[in-house]
Amino acid sequence: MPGDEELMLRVRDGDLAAFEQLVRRHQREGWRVAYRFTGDAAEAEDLIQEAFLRILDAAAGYRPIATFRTYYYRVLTRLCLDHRRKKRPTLAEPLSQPADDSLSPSQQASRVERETLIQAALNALPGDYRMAVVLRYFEGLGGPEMAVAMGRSTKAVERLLSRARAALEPQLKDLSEL
Amino acid sequence: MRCDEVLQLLTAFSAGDVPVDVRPAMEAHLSDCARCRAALARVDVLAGALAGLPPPPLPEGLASRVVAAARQRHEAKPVAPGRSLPWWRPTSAPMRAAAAVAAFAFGIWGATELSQPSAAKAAGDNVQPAAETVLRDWFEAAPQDSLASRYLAAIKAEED
Repeated sequence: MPGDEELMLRVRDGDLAAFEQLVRRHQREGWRVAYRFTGDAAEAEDLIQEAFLRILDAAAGYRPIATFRTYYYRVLTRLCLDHRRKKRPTLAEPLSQPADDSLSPSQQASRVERETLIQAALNALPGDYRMAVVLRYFEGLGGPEMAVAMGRSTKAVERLLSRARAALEPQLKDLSEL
Repeated sequence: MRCDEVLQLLTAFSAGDVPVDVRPAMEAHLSDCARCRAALARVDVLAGALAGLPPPPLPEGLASRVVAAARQRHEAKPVAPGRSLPWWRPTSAPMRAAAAVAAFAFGIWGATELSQPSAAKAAGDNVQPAAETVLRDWFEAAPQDSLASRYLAAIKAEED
């Protein structure tokens, strides 16, 4: 199976089938980032679409100097942060999860309540704090990779996380009761 | 290490992402400092709560819609192949002549503008984003409740 960077080189040469492979391979992580960042499915989809189209538009100048994944996170992160500057987030209903038969109805309700609480707490954070939380806790990115994605220094990213944590803790103190 | 340095790195420590040369000093501090240990426990609780959230279900047909939009755009404006003909080859002779005239006119205009104060402003506009990022990083290092941190909060409030 060709690697991401090899596929991007094919996209650079005009191969849309290679582009489709990249989209299918990376749609899931992009969706997680954009959805957790916006809390809104329609906005998240618009952002992912725009990220991939920008990558396609810029493909002619692509050089494989970093992993495609890092490049993709960077494009998407920038779009998300720009989007946040232009629009105040609204709390949308959480997406309905597939039913988990191992959970009782009250446990299912508790899971939805938990997700709503966490998403509301995330939405209340400034955009850069929220993106730092999403990249670290949901995507598992390390400091250097986050720094590249967010266009900040590794130290600045750790400071963002530290302050995001301080802002989140009081809002999420009720989680243990759910 | 001091408490403020350790507290700053707790999220990375909790995720196992602290550089190997820093980790022993952090571990030594944590074994001696109950306050930082308590903070680390809170970080672990928060990390567990966030990690326990199920991933949002992927919308059906997302990739197909992205690819369809890409095809639509590609038909309107094909991706330029990386190893295509040299940039000057596909243009016609009249277009090349027009481009030469435009470049000459731009050169005259540029020489005039450089001697005027507006050129300094344009250069300033170009460097502003980088300077802003540096300033922001610098302000974020300032202690809570300091003038710098209040200034940063005011900027964020304006952006939000």
